[in-house]
Amino acid sequence: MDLDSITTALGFGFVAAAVLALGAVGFTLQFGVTNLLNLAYGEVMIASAFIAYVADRAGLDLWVAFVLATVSGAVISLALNRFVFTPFIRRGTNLFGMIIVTIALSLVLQNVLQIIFGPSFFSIDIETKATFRVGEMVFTAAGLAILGVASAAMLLVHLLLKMTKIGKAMRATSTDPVLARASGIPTARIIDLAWLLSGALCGGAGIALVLNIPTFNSTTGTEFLVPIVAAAVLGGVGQPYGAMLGAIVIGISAELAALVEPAHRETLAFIILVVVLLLRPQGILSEVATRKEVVA
Amino acid sequence: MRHRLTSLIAVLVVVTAACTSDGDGEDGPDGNGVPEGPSGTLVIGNFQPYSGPNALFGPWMIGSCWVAVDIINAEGGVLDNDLSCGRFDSQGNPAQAVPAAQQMVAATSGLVGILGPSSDDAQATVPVMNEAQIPFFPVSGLVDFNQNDFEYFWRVAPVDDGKGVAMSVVARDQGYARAAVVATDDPGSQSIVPPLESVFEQLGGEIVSNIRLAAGQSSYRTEAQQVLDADPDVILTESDHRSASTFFGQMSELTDEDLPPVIGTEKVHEPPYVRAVSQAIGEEEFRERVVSVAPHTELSGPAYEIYAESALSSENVAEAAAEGDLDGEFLSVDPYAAGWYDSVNILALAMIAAGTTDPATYNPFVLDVTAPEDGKVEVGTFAEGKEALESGDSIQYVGVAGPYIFNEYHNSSPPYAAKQFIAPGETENVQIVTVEQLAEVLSGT
Repeated sequence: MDLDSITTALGFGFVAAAVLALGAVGFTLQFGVTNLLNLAYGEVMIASAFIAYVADRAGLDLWVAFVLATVSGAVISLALNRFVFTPFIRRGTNLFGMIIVTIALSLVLQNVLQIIFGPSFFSIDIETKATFRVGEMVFTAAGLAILGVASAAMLLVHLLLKMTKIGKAMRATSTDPVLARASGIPTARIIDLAWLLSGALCGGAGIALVLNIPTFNSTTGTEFLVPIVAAAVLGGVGQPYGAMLGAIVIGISAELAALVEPAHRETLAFIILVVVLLLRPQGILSEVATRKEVVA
Repeated sequence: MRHRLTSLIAVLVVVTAACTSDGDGEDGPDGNGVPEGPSGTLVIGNFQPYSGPNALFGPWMIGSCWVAVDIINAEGGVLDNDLSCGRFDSQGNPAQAVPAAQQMVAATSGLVGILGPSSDDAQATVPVMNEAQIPFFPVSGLVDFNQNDFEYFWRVAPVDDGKGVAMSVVARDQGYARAAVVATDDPGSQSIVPPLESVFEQLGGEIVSNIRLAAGQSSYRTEAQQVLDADPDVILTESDHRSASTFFGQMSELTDEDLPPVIGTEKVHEPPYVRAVSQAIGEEEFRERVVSVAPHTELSGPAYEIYAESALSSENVAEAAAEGDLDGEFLSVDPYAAGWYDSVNILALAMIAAGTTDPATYNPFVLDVTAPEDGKVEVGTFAEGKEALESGDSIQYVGVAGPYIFNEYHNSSPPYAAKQFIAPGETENVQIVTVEQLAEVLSGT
């Protein structure tokens, strides 16, 4: 393991972190506002990726497919909240019960995708096969695009949260929904917006993921959910900036660990997660978690 | 009052016992003292994943089962009973597979034999099936079962370490001296690595890289770069299709040169692997670069013709295989499908030889109808075997993919062939590794 190979692994880690960041920020935004641990998130990602795949096969430009995936993720997420999650919540389903609902939904979505598309494998073709070198770091065209899109998305999230009334309302609702409502914030509408935004990021993460891997199928989303949740928890649940940081830590540490022992590429990341949570149970950046009943 | 109640209970017990004894011929001895076993429609359980990441394996196997069952039923069935192929979803992991296996053996009326389990859950489910006293043919090459005491276990699938040895011989004979080993971290894939490494080095080669992949990751670029940096002549591999497509796809992105040649186990020419990896690296690249080392079966002759005709014409086959996006044409040329077809025939002929469908009773006859012995009639089809047995002859079933010579641990090992992929269901033999060659190499380890 020399400096050159470490640098190369870092480059790969940045791309992995970019994909993770899109997913983790969306996941934590939604959780922060709604307090719902949505384990169907991975399936919404892949459903959005399939929309992009269909668009790509129809001859549409890849960027159009990307937009469609993002919009699909937003629409699907909003619809799930309106027609699945909200009815259960109104019936008084507790937090654990809602987790079971999301697991069931995950299985349903996965099987629906398998019924529609079959158990085969799919890929979205990228015309440009060239690789680009920055020192010892190697990037594909898709990797650079993912880095660019993820960076732009993170900047937009930052501007939304810090510079707009909607962002302020989201942060208020996330911090204390009762007080936010009492202050005149239309929390129901804010929650809808949170689902839309989270879903858009989810859809973006879906197409970023399938551009980053050569093939995908209906079960790909499930496997990617674990590092997404890990990144969100590491950064602090409900804390988008924490999710970005968590994604960087997990994405890069996995690639560096692969240099030493590929079979344990995720082990280092999860060791870091456990250590951080032992030292700081609310995550790296969150001050919200203690109010979310997510720590003992 | 109490005396009358006691008498009434005693009468009820006697009547109940009389009603449940031998009324329908099930599980009671026939006139010769042989338990009769189930009757009506007998079920061959197909215990494989039909959902989850390995969902393609289930339809592949049950399609093969129907190839055999359709022929058997057309020939009058087994002891006047028809067969059918039951589908039981292991979901490809032990947590789901164990309860599924328990339910299969406990609740399936007429279950007389099982195809499965697979390597995903074999360590957990083999004991369940053996305890149920039902003969089963695992589709697993795990070396854990090379020596075992499972009485109802009959393995025709090649063992993983045998594959590793054959792969090393092929790599040596094809002129490769520097090999990178790439295998996922599951037990089945890892079990081929030690014999593969030791034999390749014994034959004068050098292992320049050994990568143990964490299965199912979204990025293997670091690992792929490590392999490229080691500059191997050849990559020796065993992995699941998803990990392979990600690994080789990302490797091809990192180099302007052609990928090193790849020699894998039979998995590399299985439909899921072919689809996933050729999607990732291109069909032509896959065809040129990827060679499989698989059990060798001569798919020719009268027995094969009957098998192929059933595979191509059976509606049951078409319906079962379509679920996995397979077809009868693929099954007709696939050696694994032929092996599963033979397994069903072996079970059927063992029942006829034993004169009973009772699994615990006919189990030893699996050896009886397959072991070579002077004076036995060699048969290639169910019809031939049934006719010979009904005439009072002893048989050795060879079938399409046999012969099947079970050792003391009920394992039967085949020769191997290195194959180049031409088209779905079509491969070309590059090299044959005989059982004698394998034995010679192994004697030097």
